[in-house]
This record gives sequence, structure tokens and C-alpha cells, in this order.
Amino acid sequence: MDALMTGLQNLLDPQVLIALLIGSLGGLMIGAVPGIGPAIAIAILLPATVFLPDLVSLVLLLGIYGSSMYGGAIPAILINTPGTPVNALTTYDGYSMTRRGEGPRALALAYSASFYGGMFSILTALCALILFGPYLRDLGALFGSRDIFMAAVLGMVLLILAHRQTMLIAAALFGFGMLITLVGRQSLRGFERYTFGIEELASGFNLIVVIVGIFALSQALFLMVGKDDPAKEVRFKGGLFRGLAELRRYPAVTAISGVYGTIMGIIPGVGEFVAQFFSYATARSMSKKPEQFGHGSPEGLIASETANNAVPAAAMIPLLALGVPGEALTAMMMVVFFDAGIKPGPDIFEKSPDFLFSLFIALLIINVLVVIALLFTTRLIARMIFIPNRFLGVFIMIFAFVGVFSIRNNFFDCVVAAIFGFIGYILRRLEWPLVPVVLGMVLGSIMVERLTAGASRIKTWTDLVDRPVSGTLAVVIVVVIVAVLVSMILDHRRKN
Amino acid sequence: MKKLLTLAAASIATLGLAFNAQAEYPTGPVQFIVPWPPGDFEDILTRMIAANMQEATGVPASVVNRPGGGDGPFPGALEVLAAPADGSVVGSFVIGVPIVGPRIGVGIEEDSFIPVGIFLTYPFVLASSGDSGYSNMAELAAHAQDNDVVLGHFGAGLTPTKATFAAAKNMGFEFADDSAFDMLDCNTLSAGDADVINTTLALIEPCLDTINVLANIGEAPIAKLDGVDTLAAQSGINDLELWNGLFVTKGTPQEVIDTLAEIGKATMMSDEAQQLMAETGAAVYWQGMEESMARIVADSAKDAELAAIIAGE
Amino acid sequence: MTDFRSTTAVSQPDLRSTSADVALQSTPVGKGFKSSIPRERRFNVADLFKFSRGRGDLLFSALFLAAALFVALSFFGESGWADRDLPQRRLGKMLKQPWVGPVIAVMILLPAALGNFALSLRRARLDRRKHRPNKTRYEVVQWLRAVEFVAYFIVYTRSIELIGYLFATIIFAVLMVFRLGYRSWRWLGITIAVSFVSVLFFRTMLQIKTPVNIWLYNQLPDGLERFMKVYF
Repeated sequence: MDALMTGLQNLLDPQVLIALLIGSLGGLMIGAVPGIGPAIAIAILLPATVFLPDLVSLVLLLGIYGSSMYGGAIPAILINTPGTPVNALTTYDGYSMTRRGEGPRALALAYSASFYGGMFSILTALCALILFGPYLRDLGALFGSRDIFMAAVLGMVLLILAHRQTMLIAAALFGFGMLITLVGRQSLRGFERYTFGIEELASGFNLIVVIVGIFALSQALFLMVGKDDPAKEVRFKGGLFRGLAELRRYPAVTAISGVYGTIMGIIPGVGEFVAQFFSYATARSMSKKPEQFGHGSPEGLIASETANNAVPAAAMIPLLALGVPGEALTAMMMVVFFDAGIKPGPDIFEKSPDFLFSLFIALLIINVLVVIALLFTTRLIARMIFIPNRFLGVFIMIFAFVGVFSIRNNFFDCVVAAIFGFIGYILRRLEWPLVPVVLGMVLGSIMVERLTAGASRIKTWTDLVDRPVSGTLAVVIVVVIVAVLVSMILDHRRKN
Repeated sequence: MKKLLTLAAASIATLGLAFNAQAEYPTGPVQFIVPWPPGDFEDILTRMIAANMQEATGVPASVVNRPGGGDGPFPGALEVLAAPADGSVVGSFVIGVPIVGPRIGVGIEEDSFIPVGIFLTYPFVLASSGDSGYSNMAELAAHAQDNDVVLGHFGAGLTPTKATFAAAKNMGFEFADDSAFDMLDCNTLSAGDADVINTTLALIEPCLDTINVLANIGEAPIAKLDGVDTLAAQSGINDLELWNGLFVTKGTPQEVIDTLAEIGKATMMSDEAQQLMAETGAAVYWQGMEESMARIVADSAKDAELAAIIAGE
Repeated sequence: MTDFRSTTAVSQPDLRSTSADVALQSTPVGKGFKSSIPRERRFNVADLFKFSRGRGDLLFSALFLAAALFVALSFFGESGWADRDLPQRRLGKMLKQPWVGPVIAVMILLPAALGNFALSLRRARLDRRKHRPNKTRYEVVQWLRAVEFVAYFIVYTRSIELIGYLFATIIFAVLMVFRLGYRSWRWLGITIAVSFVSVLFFRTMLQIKTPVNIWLYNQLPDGLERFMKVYF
């Protein structure tokens, strides 16, 4: 319990509180503007916060991470454009409600649903922390290199399978991402991979540079080459306070979506999008009015917003406990933790328990701050949606430079970011998914690193799965692949 | 309008002049690069130095971790090398960087770095699980004759790893296999990734009572660990230690080195740092620039000796 | 996850049409199941994630495949395969070698790229049979339009070394905004203000690193030079 108190105390530092405020409000605005998302903002701010005290920069970035989905609901509901990619499902029911004149109701529902989702997963995580934290070290004995290797492989499999319609593309891009991390020279071990003799490639590709390129720069290009939205002023009447209580009328949907979001957040490779999708589908099948889904069903709105906001806190769990990030934004937070002197892994509860508590309490405070802020500032924020696209693109480019250059201070990185930006732009136009590239880099490097580390224990193939965790995970992987293949074959047969 | 402009220009110029008067190091933020994951001794001590520097000089000073994975400290070292030689980026390096670095063709030369001072000797040890069946080098040697023993280390090119292999050679046994890790701690042993690990005492502190420390790598036994002899004494190799020091790039002005040395020395002599030494078995001290340079030369020879043993004389 | 919905109104997939009632298709769930929802109001959630290969897909898939083949072929030279140490009695000694990572990556990349190209080809043939227009040329033009902006970005980053972060940013922002058509005094003012604030925020406050040796600042008198270099 000391750790809880210490964690709380550390947060009460004025600098940290200001950072919380800036992070939450900033994140809200960043989420609300379609065209920038938390990934871009975090990627850019991450290296810039090097000179700030650890907890301050952490809380700042957490604020952006935790509050962007709230903001993203605003344009999704009001103008049928998701503010961040994960608010996509919200547009269906949310915008339909707006067209019926129920904009404020939709917003209030979305906020309260997100709040519930966030709170649920944060409190679950905190309880898990308090109850199981001290035993985490013993649990750690089960997680050796081979086990984490398997966890990364599972993450890869789930990621690819989740892209139901674009599996081959997701797999190809994952492989590409994995290859990118392998490029470089490892002088201590005396080898070079894929450097083609080019000196600049010897230090390999940096994750943040690629992320800024493939997410931020590509988006900037996309916006600049495209057209501006002819902005319609959106006026809405009525307060939001009343709408908040409406959540009470749908306990079942809310509760289940919260659970879905939390569980999916914990499983590496899944992420907000799939969590939303499953909870939406389940809510629809359970609902008494399924035909309303997609046409302004409050249940649909609740299902998607609760689930997507439950994911961030839950996704922290595999990251902190195993060091395996489950989704792109969490992977970036891993870098933040590193810079703050925290090494994720089974012994984190022993080494830095107060940090863990600070983290989740901060997320709690952020959720509360955001909802309060939203009640008063929604109208203001709603105006920000109308920043013209191409203007936005210019500034994303300027900020992207900051993000890229502050990492390794070399010009080559800027070129790399530009190239990935161009590739990302094409991927966006083709509607190919971008996330597999990033997760390919992250999970791919974990896979190779853990395989190499655990290799000395492997005499024969069975040694790889000869352990409780890696064996179970291997079985899960096979089962999941078979299940999906079977369902695909059945679907195919049904269509013919 | 014109008056305003002249006024503005004058004030900026004055500011500039004022600035000129304080043109001594440090004039801007200082970054200390620790080429390892966070948490270990050099990280803690370097953070102490950075904090003291920030307090003493008022400029922001921070520590950045740049672990190189299986590549050890070299990527981080190269980052320091690539930065301007003005004291804005300072490296916190182990012995491997100035000694092994020039030999592996990464772009580090013998004179690439100037030591500001050496301040830490790691309490490097060889450890195994409590139930491994051996508790010193002789028993390990015996055990290894008929069983597979897997070694975990921080990189084949680093001096403690070399010392371990040389010791094995001298004592007539071989490790069945070995792997480089980013982190070697209690978890590595308990999760079964390696049988014997070559790591620092701090990382295995939490489970010290449940594991066997086979030997420590250094000039003298560590007070904290009674009954544990040095590797040199048990195997007949030399007593090369793994130390850590502050380094700047060649060409950095002497005043930078002196300022850093002052702060470094004060930090090491502080109660905090000395307490760290007492609690953990690390040796915390300060050897200035000249002493460090001499030590590097001597240690280079010892390292070559070890390499010769491993290669088979 | 799949963020092909990640963008703004520019490329709205047809599902997002304003006549919400008719927009979403439905597919029969299975034979023998009688749904009580009237046909035109049903929809399949899976449709939300419908992916159809658009313009330029075949071209890019082909290029991607070519790149994958290139990587696979360079494997033998570039991945440390030449220094391989086989055979080994212990599997682990093999798995530690540098070429293992690339092998895994290529084993995922190449078949997927091949399969993707095949699917793309199939779709292209289907399109041709149904006489749907091939708009690849249009798509390539769109890609080339982006190259212009990529070039601007590179020029911007290069120019920072010459004229410093502050001036480069303000000038770049103004020029870009002008190029994109916002040509009133109001926009000029907003752009300058926003870029100046960003420079203040990132460079002056957060002290992010920008190139150190700046030609323009080098021309200034000493004190001013130092001031500009540290804070701008």
C-alpha cells in the first residue's frame, strides 16, 4: 500500500499536474481534429520530451493517449468523420443520431460510454495490480525468452487474422516491417544485414522515425493532395448533462463492452478496432432492436465507445508485465517507459511499484478531467474540427520534422521518414492497413531478439515448446489458425 | 516604426553581449548517454551526476538510455561520437568501448574518446541457481564435464565474458552454448534461460539468498559476498575488471573536461554514492583523466592476454 | 487496427454515404434462416470492413512483389548467410546466427506478397471482363502529385542547416500555405503566428535538437550567434 501512496504523491507535484492538464486537453483537441491522431502526436512529442522530468513527460503522453478517443467521437458524431481511426464505428450510429437532431444526446452517450470503458479497465488493472502484483515475480519464472517469443508470434498471428479481408496484405506488410528492423550492422557480433554497403543503413531504421513517416507524413501528404472539406457549421442545442445519465438504461451492453475492451486490450496484437467490432457485433446480436444498429442505435454507440476506450489501460498490462506491446500506440509508450528508466518485465512490480500506481491513477485522473472538460468545452472543440485539411497537412509536416530529427539528429532519418511517408500515402490511397508495418517492426524485433537469447537452451525443436507457457501458446496459435481457416472455408462454401 | 526597430535591435544585441559574458560550459542542455537499459549502476550513478550538474550549473541535464541489444554499448557510443565535441553529449562507457571498440571496425578509434574519469567498478559475478549443484568454479568445472551448461552474458566481446571463457579454458571445461542478453537478472535464472549468468550483483540482488555466486570478476573479493573468491584466483587468469567512466569525444575543450570532472568527483564522493558502494558491493571512486588514460593502456594489455587464452595460446 | 478508415472526407468509402438507410448491403446469413428484419434495413457488420481493391492496386502489388523478390534474392549476400556455420548438432547454435531473422521475415513476406499479387491480378482480370475502366494512370498521377510535397519536405529539412529552424519553419509554412491556395493576408498572419508559436514551443521551450552548425547564424556577431543557436 505504500507504493499506492507514493505513486499518488508523485502525481501531486505541480509540474506533473500541469502536464496532466495539458496532456488531457491537448489530447482531446488532437483527437477531435480529423487528420491528426494520437499516434502522430505521441511520435512527435516523444523525443521532444527528453529534457522534461520523467513523470512529467510520461503523464503528458499518457494524457494524449487516454483522451484522444473522447475527442475523436466529436467529429465522428457531428460530421460523420472519425477524429481518430478507432472512432470509425462511432460514425455509423452517432452520425445517424445527429441527423435525427439528437447530436447532444449522442455526444453525451459517447462520453459516458468512454468514461465507463476507461474506468472499468483502469480499475480492473489496478485491482489486478494490487492483488497479483506481488506474485508477478513468481509468475515471471514462467516467462523466459522462449515464452515471450511465442507470445510475440501469437500477437503476429492474431494481428494478421484480425484483418479478415486483407490477411495477405497484413502478412506481407508485417514481414516487411520485420525485415526493416533487421537491417543494420551489429558490430559486436560481427555481422551486417541488408546494408548493401551503404554506411547510413548500418545503424538501421529507428521505430519512431518509421512511425512518424508512415503515419504522420503520409497523412500530411494525403491531406495536402486532397481537398478541403467544405465545412458546414454544426450548431447543436441542448446541454450534455442529461445525456450522461442515459447510460444507466443500458447496463448489459455497457458492462459487456467494457469487458470485451479490457480483455482484447490485454491480448497482444488485437487492439481497439477489433475490440470495438466484437463488442458491436455482440451488442447487436443481444439487442432487442438489432435493425437500429448502424442507423442511430444508442446501444451501438455505447458498444463501440466503451470498448475502444477500455483498450488503452488494458493494453498496458502485457506491456508492463511481459514487455510485449499489443498495439502500435502501446509500443510507443514502451519507448517512453524506457526513457524514464523503467524496464517492463515480470519484476516491474518489485522494482517500480509506485510507478505502476502513478500510471494507472494518472489515467484515472485523465478520464475524469476529460469528461468534465468536455461538458463545458464541446462547442469550442467542435469548432476545431473545421481546420482546413491542407493547412493541417502543412503543420503536420513541420511537426514531423521535429519528431524525426530529435531522435538521432541526422538528416538520413528525415529522408527515411519522407520515403516511408510516401509509401504510407500510397497505402492509404489503396486502403491497405498501415498498422501491420509498425507491429511488424515491434513484434518482429521482439521475436528475433528473444529467439536469439533463448537459442542457447534449444537443442532440438521440442525445446522451444517444452515449457508450460510457450507450449500452451503454441497450441493456442495452432487452434486459432485452424479455427479461422475453417470458418473461412465454411463461409466460402456458403456463398457458393 | 524605425525607432521601435532600433530599440529592438539594440535590446537583442545587449542580450547577445550579456550572453557572451557567460560563454563558458555548459551553455546548453547536456545529455548523458548510457548505452544500457535503465536501472543498473552506471545508470544510477550517471543520473546522480546529471542531477548534480543540473543543480550546479542550471542547465537541463538528462540521461538517455541507448541499449544496443546484442550489440552492447557500441551503438550508444557511436551516438556520442557523432555529436559535436563541445560537451553537450557525454558518454558513460564501460571498459569495452575504448578497448574493444577500435578492434571491431565500427568507427571507434583508439583516440576517439577522452576519459573524463573512471568512477565505477562493477561487482561482476558468475551466478547460478541455488539448485544447480555447484557453488564455485571448481565444482562447475566438474559438473560441466558430463552436463550441458549454458552461459548467459552481455555480449561476447565484453571483458567479463572474455574472462569467463578464458577461465573455462584454463580450467579445462567448455560451455555447451552461450547467448547474449539485454538483461540478466533473477528472472533469467528462474525462467531457465541460462544455467550460469555473468552479470552484476545489483541485478541479482533480490534473489541473492536463493542463488549461488560462483566467483566475482575483479581484483579483490567483494566484502558483501563472503566465501566467494575472485575468478582470477580460482582459475589463474588475470584480474581485469569491468569499470565504467565518463567519456567525451576527442577534441572537446579542456575546460569542459575539467568542469565535468569536478562535478563527477563531487558526485562520487557524496554520501549517496558511497552508500551505494557499501550496500551493493560496487566500487565507487574517482580516477581523473591522466590516471584513467594509464589504466586504459594497462587494461588493454590484460584484455589481449585473455583473448590469447581463448584463442588457444 | 485496420485503419483504412483513418482519413478524412477526402476518400469516403461508399458505405459512408449520406442516405444512411440504403447504404449498407446485406448478405443472407444462411439458407433456412428466416430473418424478421426487412431486407433493406438489414446489414452485415462485416460489410463495415469491406475491402475492395481500388485503382492502382495491381501496380502497387506488382511493385511490392518485385521488392519482396529482390529482398529474397539478396538474402544470400546480405543477411550473413555467407558466413553461416552449418551443420550444428545443437539447434540453438543455428538459431543464433544472423540469417535466421531474415529467413523468418522473408518466409512471411514472400508468400504473402505472391498471394496478394495473385488476388490483385484476379480482381484486375475480373474488372477487365466487366469492362470497368482501368484508372491506374489516374492513380499514378495522384502518387506523383505527392512527390512534389515530399520534395518540399526534404528541402525544408535541408534548409534548416542554412537559415536555422526559426526562419526555415516560418518561410516554409508560408510558402506551402501559399502554394496550397490560402492566399489572403488573414491566412498569412495565422500561418506566421502558428509557426512562430510552434518554434517557441519546440525549440525554445522543449529544446529539441536541431542541426547545430547553421550558416546564417554563423554570420552573426558572437553573442547574438550563441543566443540564436541556443534558443532558435
